[in-house]
Amino acid sequence: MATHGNLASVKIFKFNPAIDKKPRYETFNVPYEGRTVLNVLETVYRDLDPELAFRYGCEGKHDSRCGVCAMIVNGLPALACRRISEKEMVIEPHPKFEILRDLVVDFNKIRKVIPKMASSIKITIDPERCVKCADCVSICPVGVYEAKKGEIKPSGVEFCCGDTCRQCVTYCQTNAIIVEFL
Amino acid sequence: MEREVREADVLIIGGGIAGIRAAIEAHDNGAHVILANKGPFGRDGAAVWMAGTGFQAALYPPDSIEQHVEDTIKGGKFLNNQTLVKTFLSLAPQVFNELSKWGMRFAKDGEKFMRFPLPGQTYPRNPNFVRVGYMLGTEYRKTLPRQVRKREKIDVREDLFVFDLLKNGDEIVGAIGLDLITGAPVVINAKATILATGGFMACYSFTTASPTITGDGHGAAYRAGAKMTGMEFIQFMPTTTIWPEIVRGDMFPYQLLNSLYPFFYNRLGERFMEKYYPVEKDWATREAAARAIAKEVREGRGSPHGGAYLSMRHLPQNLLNEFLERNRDSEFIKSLRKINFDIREEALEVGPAVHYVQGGCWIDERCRTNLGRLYAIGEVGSGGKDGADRLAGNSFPFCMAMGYVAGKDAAENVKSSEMPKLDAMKVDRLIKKLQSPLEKKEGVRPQEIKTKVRETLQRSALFQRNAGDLKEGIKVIEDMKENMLPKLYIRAKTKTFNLEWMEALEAENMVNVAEMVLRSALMREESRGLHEREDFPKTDQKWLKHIIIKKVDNEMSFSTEPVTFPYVQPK
Repeated sequence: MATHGNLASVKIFKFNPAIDKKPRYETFNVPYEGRTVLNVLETVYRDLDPELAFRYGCEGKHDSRCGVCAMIVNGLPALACRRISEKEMVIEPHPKFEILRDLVVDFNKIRKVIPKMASSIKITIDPERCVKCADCVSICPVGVYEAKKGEIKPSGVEFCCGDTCRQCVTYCQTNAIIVEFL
Repeated sequence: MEREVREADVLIIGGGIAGIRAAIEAHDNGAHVILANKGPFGRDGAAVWMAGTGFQAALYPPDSIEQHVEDTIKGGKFLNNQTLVKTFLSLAPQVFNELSKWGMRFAKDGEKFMRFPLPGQTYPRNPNFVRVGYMLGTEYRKTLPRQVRKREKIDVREDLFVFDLLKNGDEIVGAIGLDLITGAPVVINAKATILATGGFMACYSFTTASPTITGDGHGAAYRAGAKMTGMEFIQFMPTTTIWPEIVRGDMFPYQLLNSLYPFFYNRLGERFMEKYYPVEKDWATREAAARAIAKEVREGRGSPHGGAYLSMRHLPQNLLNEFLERNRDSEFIKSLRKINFDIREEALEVGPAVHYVQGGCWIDERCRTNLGRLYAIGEVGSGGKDGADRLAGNSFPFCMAMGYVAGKDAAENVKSSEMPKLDAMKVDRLIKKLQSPLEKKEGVRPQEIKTKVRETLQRSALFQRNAGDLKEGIKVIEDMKENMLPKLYIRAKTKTFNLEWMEALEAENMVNVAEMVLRSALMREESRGLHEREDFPKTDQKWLKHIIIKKVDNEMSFSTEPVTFPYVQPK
């Protein structure tokens, strides 16, 4: 691994619920320029900390996003495979789901206590265009959307991985969804 | 660690398109199903995104199943197992209509589904997603897992890495896996087992597929004594992005080449396409470009990351700006903008990426392998169905049809079947194998093995194959079998969600796959479809036979089976 060139300072959340009383953060210095957060995590795992646990899948190639690498980067949810790295980063597990270990969560279990998140995203569903097919409900990897009494609502906007994902926008057949950054 | 023991009527290994369809059919025919997934269900594997823009089905005249079958066999250069092609593609319209009924929305022109052309089709045959041109993967991800979840009796297991089949005599009696969350071995005893583990694209260095697609089913099946076939035919996506890193593996250039005429350069700044294609030059087919790029790389003139430069610099700024504006919302263009990569000034590096594999288990028209109680479907269920080259859009009808056939057959057969016994000694031995890398204090880490397999196959088993390179590759694999695999060790010791432990299991499968690919490629002394031999550049009639691989006395042994032509005669 190159040790010359600019290195990022990456603080990563570490927690093994089976043996740790509480979580801790470990800092690593790795090359980051022009790389995604997933690239950076892979370097940490490969060269510095083989115990690090994180999920990877489709790697965000092409238009689709499987969503398994959803996590928090510098306070906001993002898909690690599409999030560009910064010089200072804090990486934590996605706030909605139960932590299995380190950055790995169980997408089938919602946390009993969800940390308060500042949201930087505004989602608008155009009522003239929405045909209530609920595709967005099915396709969102972190369950931002909810179908309630025939209406679709982005009730979990604070979990939205924003620009790194945009599956709802990409696949809405009537272009009814607008995702804006505040 | 305590082992977990489960029972099922039908165990399905792999929850992709084929595995899901099999689970639905087996369940609906009364079987208790366990559906095991390596990662999170409905998100992992290839189906999520690789289900591109095609699903071939002969829906309306003048098109017909016979025509679809003929097109497929011609595309496969007459090496296809015609019985399988006929049996499965006959079901294509039926399984297509199921998808439509389950909520997948295909573009319609009035009452009829619109059909778009893809290469090799006599009539346009591809229904497309409502937003024409977009990838169908998301439609599958939306529709199929929902059908499984509705059927609450299907036991969906996630993060369960099945690493070996369990054998008793000549029968497969279940499988053993690692529960990635707990670190416990999971033994599943089943009356029937359906292998639906997908391909092995990640055994090559450069692929459009996820790194998790490592041929785990291929390895397990081979080790259990299943007959394998077609391992020499590897499909590639021609001009895939190699660099910059954040768009590595992206197929965007494939579309870009529909809209703009770029120039390809090698490391010397030569427009090398002119050498190989004096007439078409840079605008020969993408497949032709792929082969030319591979040649340049082999001869030492590749770009820094192992491909060719793709440049648009010769085009005027206003033309390029119009293109960029039109594609403003493309994820690819947005990614490049995020890292300040100016495609008007700088060249991408592109090259052929492994995309799909034609090799897997030998099967009959009921998807049964040569081993009792074992089925194989989808990409791992080869049987020679794709022949020497697969037509775009054929994978989905195959996966859906085979899932239906195997799910139904398995469920019907287990009705009158007792639970077969496990061989306790074999189970204990496999658990020891599982624990070994975790318990060792030193040795060879899996990443070393995986990288070596990938480099070997990338170098010797893609284009311009020849006896010298293939034999070299085989030597490397032999050395790995003898000196590296037995020393497999992982530095990560946490039991829960141990990525390195997962890689250790993948490593053995990748070595098995590599050996099968290299030896098959060496044996086939001709060039046909995707198998290109520099030293045997002609297509040879006497090679109209399938290569069959089987483990005999712990050695990889080879035989051949002549191709038969019940439906289409070779030209």
